[in-house]
Amino acid sequence: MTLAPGRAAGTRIPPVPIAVRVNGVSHEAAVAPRLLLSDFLRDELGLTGTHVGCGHGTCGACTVILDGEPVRSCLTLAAQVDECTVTTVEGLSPDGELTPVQQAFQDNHGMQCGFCTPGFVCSLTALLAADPEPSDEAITDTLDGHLCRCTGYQNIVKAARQAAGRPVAPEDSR
Amino acid sequence: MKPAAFDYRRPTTVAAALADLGSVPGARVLAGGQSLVPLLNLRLEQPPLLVDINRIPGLDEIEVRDERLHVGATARQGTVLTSSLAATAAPLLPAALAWVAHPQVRSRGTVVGSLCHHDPAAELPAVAVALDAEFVVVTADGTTRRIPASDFFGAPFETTIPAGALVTAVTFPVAAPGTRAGFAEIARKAKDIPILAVGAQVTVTDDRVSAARIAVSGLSARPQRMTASEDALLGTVPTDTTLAVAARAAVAEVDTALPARASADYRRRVLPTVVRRALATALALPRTPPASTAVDPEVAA
Repeated sequence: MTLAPGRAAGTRIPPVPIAVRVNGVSHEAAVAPRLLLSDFLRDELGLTGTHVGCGHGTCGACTVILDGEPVRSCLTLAAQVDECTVTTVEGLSPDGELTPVQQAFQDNHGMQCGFCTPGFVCSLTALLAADPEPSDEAITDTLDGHLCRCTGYQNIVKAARQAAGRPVAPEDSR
Repeated sequence: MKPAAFDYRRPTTVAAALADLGSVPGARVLAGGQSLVPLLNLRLEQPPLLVDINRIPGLDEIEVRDERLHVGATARQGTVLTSSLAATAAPLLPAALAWVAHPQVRSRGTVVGSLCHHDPAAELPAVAVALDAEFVVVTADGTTRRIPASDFFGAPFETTIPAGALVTAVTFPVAAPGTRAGFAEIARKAKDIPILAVGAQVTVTDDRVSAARIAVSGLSARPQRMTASEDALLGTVPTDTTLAVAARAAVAEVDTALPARASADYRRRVLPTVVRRALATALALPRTPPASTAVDPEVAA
């Protein structure tokens, strides 16, 4: 698909051509240099599952998987993902079934309002893909990169442990 | 909360990057973007041009050459954190990186970029000063200069990189066998930019400390070497007591005007405790000392 030039209105800054694979679909677009990946995904591709919370890298809500690694899509330019592969929360389960991470969030009530959830789910999915048996430290390190103002995190930790195939309530209560 | 408009180039050679950087006054280098893009999003920085160096082959090197560990300008923090080469050659670097941000930021953020950003409280500048790092800088005319860490950091968020130049790598001397590292910091919130941070890299030979490199950031405009603490350790058999002596020897200039996250008094007060924690981690001694050797009973808990 070809997209309209981005939002550098009033300037003569040329758009940057990119070819990017998002959730298994190839896209070609010409983007304004200042267009953030988060806004490209939401506004240009309509993938609004990626949520933008703080817009400067603190909250983690906008986390997506870029070439296998979790990244802040609000701190990545759309121009930078040329020739890259992006997975958003919409692309984790192409067949519509819940993934083990998503199922674990449901089973453990790991969300309330849900705003932060896509970021958590993307980060944990990337963690488990890289390390199917992460330590508690690795889980905490990953969850640390996300803010949740509802749950108090305990149920998210439980969900992460379930997704990692571990007992949900450890004997050594954390 | 979106960036002001800027132009964008993606050169594939250092020479082309230098040409791009020289084409417009105020052009900025884009590496990992984890310090720069937040400033763009908040419009605290409005550069006319970003020069994206991520597609320049070879700039992501992590290699040992000429007795130094070379970390290229696009080597990601997460990659360096898990590099066995870095762990052996400069163990303080990965020890500090474990405290830097989160996996989702370290996946993009670079070691060189964080150093060039020079947040006066950030972890990596203390590492650079502690280890006598050198910055490999290619200037606008194409010549390569090496700037020692002691000359690299300027005022907060400033460096001595010449206008139009590109830092292609930072190098660290390869540590002797038996070198271990510890890092400790105090932050208002885990993984936040710290109030102050201390890195220590210590070599133990025949049970005695044969080399010690300690530096702190967060106290003044630039990271500071803690030479009095280093001297107090040299030649000793490390114990709780020698650590306490070294920690009490920690004195540093504390800049009351620094836009800091805690008062000068507080930072001065907790400095010995943080030094002690970094040393204890490096030397695998208990992080919480016995009461008899507590640095400051009121804050050493």
